Amino acid sequence: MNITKILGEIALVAHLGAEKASSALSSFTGQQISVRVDSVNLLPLEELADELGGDDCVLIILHSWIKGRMSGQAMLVFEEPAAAGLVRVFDCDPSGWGEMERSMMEETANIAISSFMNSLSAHLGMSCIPQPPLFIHDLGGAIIASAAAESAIFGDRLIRYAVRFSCNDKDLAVNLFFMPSSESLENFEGEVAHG
Amino acid sequence: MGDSGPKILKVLIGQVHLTRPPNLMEAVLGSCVGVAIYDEKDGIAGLAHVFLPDSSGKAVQSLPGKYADQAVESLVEGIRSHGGSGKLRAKIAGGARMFGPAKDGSPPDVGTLNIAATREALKRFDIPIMGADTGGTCGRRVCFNPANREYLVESFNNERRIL
Repeated sequence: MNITKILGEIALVAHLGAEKASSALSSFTGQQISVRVDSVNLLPLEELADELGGDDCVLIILHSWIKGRMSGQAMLVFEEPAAAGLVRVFDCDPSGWGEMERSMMEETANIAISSFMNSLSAHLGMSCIPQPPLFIHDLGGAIIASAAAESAIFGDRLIRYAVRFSCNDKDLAVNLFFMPSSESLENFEGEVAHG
Repeated sequence: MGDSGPKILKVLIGQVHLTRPPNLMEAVLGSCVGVAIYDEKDGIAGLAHVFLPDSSGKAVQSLPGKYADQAVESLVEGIRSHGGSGKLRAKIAGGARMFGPAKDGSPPDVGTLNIAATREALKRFDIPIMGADTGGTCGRRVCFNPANREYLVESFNNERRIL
């Protein structure tokens, strides 16, 4: 399986996904929200915990199953202060992560993940349909390792978009992980082979 | 005497650590299983952070605890090669289902598979399980103490158990 090849395709259209996400989130919130991608890379599993502040760091994660020919999982990963900063944009109170705050985070993730996946889908000519994201508040290492195990296709590596949300002069660092299924990588190889 | 205080060894995904009292071993688990095996006589113990259920015959690489079958074998070999000659016992935790059920084409629930594969591997080596806290939907922080063979399990929902 040519990991570098699919990573290259994803990197090629990541900025288009960011543009769509910026536009859709700005419409949704009524405020200017800018999304940009700092990098797209493969993250070795053993570096995951350190990259996310230690495996017992508490994170807010929005997890979405992806259906279609390019299926798998996507996750938008926030450290708690970044997630709190984002819901304050919506005039919500993040202290207890109630229904309203969770719903706002799920809608934000739905927009962001759909924007990135739609760009990838259009570029590859393969359907890639995100399901509504699920809000998870738990130990970061526990959640992300579990998602990686559910996919378990890149040996020991995950595709990571390092993303930055900017709003009201504040920068919020966010990670977006995409884990294609083994079937979708075979589909991708087939698409490449047939031009 | 030098640095004689107890050390806390972090066991990351796919790793296997062995130690003796007074050191401790800890891990953070979601669908992964933390399998602790200890020698009743010599005090040596090990903790493996199992990521996936089955190696399907793949050679052991840099992460000997990645697959349940290889993890148990690695723990047994490690304890024996460090002088452990007594009966082996095990305690296990983890194997949660962290995400809601997928719709069509749902992938397998890795947590459940990891629990089953770990139990099967322990059975193959005739190692009895003396305590287990598995399944559920929350992450766990676990810590094994070879001195008293206690396995502390703290769930993210604030439940605390000692196995």
